Formats: sequence, C-alpha cells, structure tokens
Amino acid sequence: MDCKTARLLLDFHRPRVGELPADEAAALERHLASCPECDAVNRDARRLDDCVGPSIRDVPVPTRLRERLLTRLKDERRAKVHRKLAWAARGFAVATAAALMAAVILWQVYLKPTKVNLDQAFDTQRDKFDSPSPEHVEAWFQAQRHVTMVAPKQFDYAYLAEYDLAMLQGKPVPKLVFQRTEDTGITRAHVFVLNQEQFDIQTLPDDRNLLDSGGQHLDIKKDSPHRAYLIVYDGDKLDPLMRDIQAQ
Amino acid sequence: MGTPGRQRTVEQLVEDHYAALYRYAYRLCGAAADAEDLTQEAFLKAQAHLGQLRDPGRAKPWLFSILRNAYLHRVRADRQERRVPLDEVGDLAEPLPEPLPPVDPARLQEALNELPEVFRTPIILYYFEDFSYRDIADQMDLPIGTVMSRLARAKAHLRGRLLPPAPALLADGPRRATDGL
Repeated sequence: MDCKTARLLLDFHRPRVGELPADEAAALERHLASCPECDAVNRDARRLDDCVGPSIRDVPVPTRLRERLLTRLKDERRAKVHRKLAWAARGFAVATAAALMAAVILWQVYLKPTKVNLDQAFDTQRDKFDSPSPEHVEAWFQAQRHVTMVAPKQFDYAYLAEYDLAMLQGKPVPKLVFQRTEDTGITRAHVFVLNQEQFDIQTLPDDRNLLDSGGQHLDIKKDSPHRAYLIVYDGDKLDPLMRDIQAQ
Repeated sequence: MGTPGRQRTVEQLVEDHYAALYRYAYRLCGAAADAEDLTQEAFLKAQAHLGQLRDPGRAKPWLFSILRNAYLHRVRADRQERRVPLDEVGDLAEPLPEPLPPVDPARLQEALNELPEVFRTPIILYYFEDFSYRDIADQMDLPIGTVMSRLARAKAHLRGRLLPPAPALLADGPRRATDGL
C-alpha cells in the first residue's frame, strides 16, 4: 500500500465503527507500521478524535427526561383521540343538520299540505263557463294549464258541464264533460282529447262505437291523423249533446 | 385507545434512544431547554409517523434524521444562526501539542455553534461514533465525498478553536492535508 492510498483510507479507519473491510484495515495497519509519516498523521487524527469525541458525547441528560417524554407522548395520544372524537362529533352534527334541512325541504315541497290559495282558485274557475265555446275552452287550457289542444266542434257547448286535465293511462289529457238533463233521462259524455304526441292515434279504429256495456258506451272520433276524441257516455245515444241536433 | 403495539414501540424507542437523541439535540442547538423541546418534538413526530419505520434496526438514524429536520425547521423560522465562514480553514491545522489539554465544555459548544449546520451535523454524528460515513451521507442526503470534506473542515475548525498548536512545531509553519503525499 502506498502513502496516498493510506491517507485516503485513514479517514475510514475508525476502530469503533469498522467501516474498512478487514483485509484493507490489515493492509493499512501494515503500512502504518512501516511508514512513520502516515503513522504520525494517523496518531494525530486519533488523538484529536479521542480528545474531542468524548467531550462532544459528554452531555448530561436531564433527570426524569425519559418520564417527561413518555408522559408527553401519552398526552399526545389522548389529545389525538379527543381530536378525532371532536371531528367525528362535528361531522355528525353537520350530517344531522344537513339531514334535517333536507327533511324540512322535502316536507315543505312534497309532504306539507298545500295552503288553499282562494284568489288563484277563483281566478282559474270564475270565467270557465262565461261563454262556453270550443275557442273559449282551448284558450282556457292554454292559459291555465299551458296545454295546446283542439276542442271537439261537434258538441253543443251549452251542455258543457266541466273541463280540465284528467289522467288517462298515467298521462294528463284534456277532458270535457257534457251533460244534458231531460224528462226522458240524463245524457252525459266524458270526452278525452288525445294527440299523437302522447298516444298512438293511427292505430285507433275510425269513428265507431267500440264498447257497449249496456248503460255506457265508448266511441272514437278521429279528427285528424294526429288527434282523436275518446268519448265515454251514458244514455241511449250521444245525439242530444251534439250541435246539429240542437239546430234541428 | 390507540394502537397498543404502536405505543409499545414508541415507548421502546424512547427507552433505547432518548439519551443519545437529547445529546445530539443539545450539540445541535447548544441549549438544554431547546434540546429537550427538540427531543420531544422528534419523538412526537416519530409516534405520528411510526409506520414509516420499516426496519426497526434503522430506528436510531431515523430518529436522528427526524430531529435534524425539526431543528432545521426551527432554524429557518428563527433565522438566528450566526456562523463563521470556513472557506479559509485548511483541511488540517497545526500539529497537536503534547499532551492534549482538556477540552472546555463551554468552548466546545461555542465552537460547534460557530459552525454552519451543514458542517456541525456531520461532525456531531461523526463523534457519536455509531454513525458511519454512509449513515451521515444518507441523513444529509449528500455524497460521501462531500461529507468527508465537510468533516475535515469542521475538525480543523474545532482543532483551531479548542487545541493550541504545539509551540515547537509552529516554527515550521502549518501543515496541509496533502503534506507528505
């Protein structure tokens, strides 16, 4: 081993750490034994280490430091649990508040009985029968129900008893009720206005009496390929409610 | 509450390393109260991140690394480090006198405090003697060559501050690390 290599290895020649492989440490020891200059450098470095090292390590440890550390760690664990519980409590409170708010909104919107608005109820009904005519009925549906419909023209609107949206197979459709009372009996017809957007009109049969269960009848009147009137009526026939009958 | 296994491990870490960690902290910051705070902070962080300690055999360098980071965090926050430049310090100072005088603890800490942290940490770890150059390099995230260079400069600084040169040899002028090579 030459001096240059020895000087490099001296830095790693620390007996207590043992960073040099055994064979290199042995080679270095042999070199130091034969080289006074390198040996002097090594002894000088070791003397410095032996002088300064113990002094650096010589730090008095405070009494009961260990106990204080363990207590602090324990306190921190407890505090962490408390923090987690506090967060959980906050989360629970927020979730509860959100659920309550949702429940209130749900109740207000869907479950709470609607307060009767007398003005609105009166406005929607007061001019319903002022001047009954197909145009008047169509205008009412447009204004009050936002539905565009064509009222059947063949009926005599002097006998119009009621009209509004009604459910037919789960769909809201305009429905008109005509009624005529005579000495011979009452003729009443429920007219549903069907359109192609809601129902398949083209598959309906043309103008004919479909059902007859004795007291009640079902008729179809197709006004166009896209519109039809489904008429359920009682009485012997529909003629007393029709316009051309009135004209005679 | 908590994890009993983890508690036992943290307590075991305290049992095994609190004294060494405190000494390291003291040498880093130079004050007993700060050293105790740092030691406490290091163990609290170790407890919080115990899952990161994969190899229990590396607990000591792991704890030392945590403590150093905590110290650096404080130093950056305080901006109070007062250090001497080491550019003019040679790799080796004058020959040591015979016999070596005892090292004054206050002067030792004063000399350590004068060193910038990047020089102080390796010299402290070096003299704790359980740390290899590789350990020190890993802790400081530096190449071993850089660690050795900083160690040489830090040693020269301590030598100059703590140990007067041998009068007989002063006449020959200071030696350099490369003398005789």
